[in-house]
Amino acid sequence: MAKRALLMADADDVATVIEAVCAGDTVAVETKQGEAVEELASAHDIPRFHKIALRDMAAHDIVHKYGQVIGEATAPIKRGDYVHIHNIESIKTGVER
Amino acid sequence: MKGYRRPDGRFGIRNHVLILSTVGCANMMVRKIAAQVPGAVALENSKGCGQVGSGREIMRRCLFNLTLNPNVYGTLVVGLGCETTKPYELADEIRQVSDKPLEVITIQDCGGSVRALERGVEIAQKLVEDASKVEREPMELGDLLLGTNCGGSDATSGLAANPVIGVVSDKVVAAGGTVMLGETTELIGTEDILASRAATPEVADDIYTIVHGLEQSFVEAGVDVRGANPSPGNMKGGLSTLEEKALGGISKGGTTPITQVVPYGVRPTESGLTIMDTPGYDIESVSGMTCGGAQVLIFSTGRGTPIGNPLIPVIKVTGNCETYARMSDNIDFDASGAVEGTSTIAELGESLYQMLEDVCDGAEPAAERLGFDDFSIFHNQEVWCTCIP
Repeated sequence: MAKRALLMADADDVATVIEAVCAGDTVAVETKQGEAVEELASAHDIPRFHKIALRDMAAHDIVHKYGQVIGEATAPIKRGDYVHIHNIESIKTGVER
Repeated sequence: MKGYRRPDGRFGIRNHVLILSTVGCANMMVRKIAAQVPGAVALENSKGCGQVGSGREIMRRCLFNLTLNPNVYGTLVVGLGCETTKPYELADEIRQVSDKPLEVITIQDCGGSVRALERGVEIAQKLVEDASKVEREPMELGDLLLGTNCGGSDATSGLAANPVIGVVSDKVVAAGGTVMLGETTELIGTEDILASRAATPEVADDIYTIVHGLEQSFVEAGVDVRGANPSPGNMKGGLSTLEEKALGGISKGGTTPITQVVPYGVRPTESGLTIMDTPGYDIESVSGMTCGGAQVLIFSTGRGTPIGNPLIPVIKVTGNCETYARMSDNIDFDASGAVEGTSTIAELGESLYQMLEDVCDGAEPAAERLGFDDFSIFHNQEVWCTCIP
């Protein structure tokens, strides 16, 4: 049985898993209206309500959720990877780098 | 719904007698007075003296505006007597704009704490007696100023709790009422979206001013906002960046144009969706909205918090069903159906609106029932000796 993940906007790079996911699990991505979008295999364990990558990204690529920018990748990210503070960060740091 | 009509035409949904301290030195006194007078609410003040510049200004206008909150029937101002807040002057200024009952005493003028307590209790008892004679009258949804706040957010806040609150916000605005967004730290990253929704170019400018001003002050202080935001709990709950948290947060304001940006503790003059420039610290943010005239507040929490307010009911909403089960004594509304796929945002918004009506009509949300009376006024610009590290 595939684990559910929610896609907040069409062009998002990530989806939120609604159940805890184990590496190798199939994740079924659906819209807020419950329409099935796609399925993918998770590369990692992902805690409930955390994010899975829907496409490959390079370091410094902009990451989108809600159809908006939530930060940038700090390392290459593969489709199916767990996305969190280990591989994305805020662009609005408050301190100029 | 029904409320208590005040002399200025506004409606309170509660009928409190406020015992207001103008300075920390009078805090014990307001507590002692309120303890002897059921129906009186003590509000302490962590500062009120030795303040300069904008810190003093913010403190003074917050004390001033608290007495005007529609949930307050009348106020007894209690000072020490020598503080920079100047209790008699403050009371005179309030009387110039408000016909609500307002009394003032100072501990020094009463001749010590024993006599101040005696006099304070006497006045407070009379105020409570008079307040009890006010009948509730029909009020409109458009008479409401609804505050909103997030605290202990997790990823479900943006998926469910905040969009559900947004449905209620849209209803209040459509009825001619006022809704307030705050927590400027948590607007960072959404300023372009918010500015594009501004009712006028001036409002858009104000949005950029508060967000960029805050970012600039982080830069000047050499601090990294990421150290505090997202908080460790936010991150554990699946929020990775400040922008992600902010994007989830602003949906609680609904979808209408933003009509005004007001400074901390100031009441809006426009109806519709407004923004108050408040800090990210929940208690200071909710307290600022109370000063700004909110009669009720809806609060979203993913991880759970007991926070309440002494003057306004705080309705707690979570999108996390585990949190709802684990902290059911602190949380009023379960919006997790929107995450689990068992109900829609619109359906949940309708039931949350029903809950709001019930609370306006006297039903007590968890924080009020349990007596959570968290209150703290934000005061910036502390000037003090920092010679010794």
